[in-house]
Amino acid sequence: MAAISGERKRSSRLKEKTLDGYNFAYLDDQTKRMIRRAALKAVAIPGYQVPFGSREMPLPFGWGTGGIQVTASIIGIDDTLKVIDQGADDTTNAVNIRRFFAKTAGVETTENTSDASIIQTRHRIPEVKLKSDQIIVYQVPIPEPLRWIEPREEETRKMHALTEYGVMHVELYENIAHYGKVTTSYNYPVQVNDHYVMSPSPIPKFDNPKMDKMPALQLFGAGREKRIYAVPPYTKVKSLDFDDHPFEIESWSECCALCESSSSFLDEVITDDKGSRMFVCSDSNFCADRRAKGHKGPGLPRKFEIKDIE
Amino acid sequence: MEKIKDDMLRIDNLAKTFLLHNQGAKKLPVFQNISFQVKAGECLVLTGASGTGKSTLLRAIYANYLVQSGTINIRHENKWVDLASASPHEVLDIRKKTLGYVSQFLRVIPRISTIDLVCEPLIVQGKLIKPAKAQAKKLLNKLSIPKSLWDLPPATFSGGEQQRVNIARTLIQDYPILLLDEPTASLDEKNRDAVIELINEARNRGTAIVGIFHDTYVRESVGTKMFNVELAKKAA
Amino acid sequence: MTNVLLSSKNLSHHYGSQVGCIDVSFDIYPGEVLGVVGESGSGKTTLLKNISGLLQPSSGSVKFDTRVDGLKDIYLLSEPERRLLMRTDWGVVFQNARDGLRMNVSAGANVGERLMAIGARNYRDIRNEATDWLQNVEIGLERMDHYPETFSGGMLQRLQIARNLVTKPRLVFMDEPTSGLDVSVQARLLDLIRGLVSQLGIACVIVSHDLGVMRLLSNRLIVMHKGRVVEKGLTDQVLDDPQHPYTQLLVSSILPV
Repeated sequence: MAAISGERKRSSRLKEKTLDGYNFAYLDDQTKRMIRRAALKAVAIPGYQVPFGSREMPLPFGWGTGGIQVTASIIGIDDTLKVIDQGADDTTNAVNIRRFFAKTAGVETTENTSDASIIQTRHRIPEVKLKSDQIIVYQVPIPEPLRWIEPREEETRKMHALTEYGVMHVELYENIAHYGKVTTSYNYPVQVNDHYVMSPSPIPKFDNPKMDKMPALQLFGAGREKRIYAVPPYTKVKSLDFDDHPFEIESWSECCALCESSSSFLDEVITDDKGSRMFVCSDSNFCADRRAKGHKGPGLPRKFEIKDIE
Repeated sequence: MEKIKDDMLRIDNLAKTFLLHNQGAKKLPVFQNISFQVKAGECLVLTGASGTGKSTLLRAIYANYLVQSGTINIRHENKWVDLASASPHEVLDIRKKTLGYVSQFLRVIPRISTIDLVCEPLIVQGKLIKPAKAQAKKLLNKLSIPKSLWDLPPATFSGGEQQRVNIARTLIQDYPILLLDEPTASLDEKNRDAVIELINEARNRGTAIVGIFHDTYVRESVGTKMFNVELAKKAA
Repeated sequence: MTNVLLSSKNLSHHYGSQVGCIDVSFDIYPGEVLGVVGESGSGKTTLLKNISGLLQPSSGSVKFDTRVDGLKDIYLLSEPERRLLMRTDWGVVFQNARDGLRMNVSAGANVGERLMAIGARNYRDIRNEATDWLQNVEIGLERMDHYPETFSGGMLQRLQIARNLVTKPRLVFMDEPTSGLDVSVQARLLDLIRGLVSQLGIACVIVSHDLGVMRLLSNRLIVMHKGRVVEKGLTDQVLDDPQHPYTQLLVSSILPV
């Protein structure tokens, strides 16, 4: 009984909320099935890039079509979606993708990380630790970490299959030889489950440790390159490094100018044409949360109330 | 006192003919039925007018030329090995340890210094660079190669200097058997005598030597017996 | 006599009706340099590809003395095994150094790559080893972090050799390693190859049409003509007393200097 009434509730909600003449979440069911099969295979082989039939989307490749297709294929009417771009919920790309799913799937959307069941992201992993009932979907521009050194697809596939990853360290070697340390700061390659070397998408290396043993399922979609890959919950993810140059994440001498956080990824913001600048959390939701809880950064003018800024 | 007169080299019924395929398969017989033995401490001098095949015979003994028939038995590490039928690897091993050859001309990689060229055979044998170089210097001194030339490649040296480098390169090692092709050809008296001394030193150590020396004085100074290639040819 | 390192038996390769090489058999022993000569089109390069695991021959076998299991047919090894062999026990020096180098990474990284490929994960160690090898091939250390793009032809070839020898392979295949270089540069490279090969006891198969190079580098020689081996033997014997009509022609065609 409950199931049937739930069904009814859903279909009525669909009718009233979604666009006429479009499938639920834009993609047709066959496509969504195909993508889910690819995603299942990806989960079964952590870090392995599964080819899939990427579709034309109503926005250009490079604007997150891979992530959108994955999200469209796994989203249900009961899901709550959060979309971030560079850590922020309020940038153009994030706002538009959120609206897209609100219109085509009628789902709830949120800016609050903890309330979301699906988080689609570009360039960041939220600061708040993700839980096992959440899925994070990454938008990936170039899925092949070996591409820069080996242009032949046939060869990179063999290298993956045989775990021949010596060349991956060549890039790190070059960094250290030229600059004295590894300067790769985003899209820093990782090895998943002791086998596949994987591009984590252009997230800062600050976020790499969050991928390791993450309770949430991590799905990666590359629309233009037509690849889907995944890291299942609680899977080992190791950033490549040398014994004598271990992996390190960025750190800042400043704290967030707004919320005084010293544990989050900070963006440098130029505030005037004299070169004044301040550092603020890149995760807008995290920062707002802290301010709501009363944290006050050094950049906040004393006389203003927090609500004046928002 | 007599040295141990063990045979070191036994040549039996050796014959050599060149077949020139590109000149209408022309056959050039050089020698046949050549047989002789050389014992340790002996120096056999090959004689005969030029063009009779003395050098060819020497080269055949070094396995540089193939022979049509006959055997070239060499005492190599106390075993007899027939060079005429030995595998290339055996030949290389014999050349490395037992059989030395001083050719008429110096043939080496360009741009390597003289001192390095001379000590190379010792390095190949696994000797350390320092003692090898010391030995090379001693020998070059003895052969009156001026110190100023040691670090230069021998390409620009005079004929006599090149020849002495060639001799030093071979004599730096104590081969049980030595083949010498006109080692004193273009040397002045002083250097000729130095080479004679080196050859005799080797012979007194028990080296078996086969050589071609056009100079009667050298022949008489080092030779212990003669073998006339021309006569052997006629007899055949 | 030590064990055979690589053994080729009745090797033939056909490109359709076109002949690559026919019925080639030979053995290579540790530490020796084997030269393969012949005019272009004689099957030298096909043979080199066949025996270096790059091209499976139409018939015949190529066996290599693997460290664990002894003589094994390289084409019956699994692909991972064969690729491991190529990374560890073998080296390939290409005629065109650009084919064997990564032009978009520094000289040091080019040398270090093979070390990283077999599991080296200590930057200092890799750096030191690369330093040693650049010195061995007479490339100034001030060039270590430069890109090969900025190197001369001779330097590129020396860098390629360092890149191959850094893991101390047991067998190195060289395809015309000195052609395309100035004569003066050639001499230095010849000396270098000879020195390294004899110091390290590396076996080498060198393909070249330059008989002068062969006389100075190789211990034994194989002469190929129309896909077949027409003569083989000690290098100086084959060059000084060639037996086959083709070899006689080849030797007598050398221009005097």
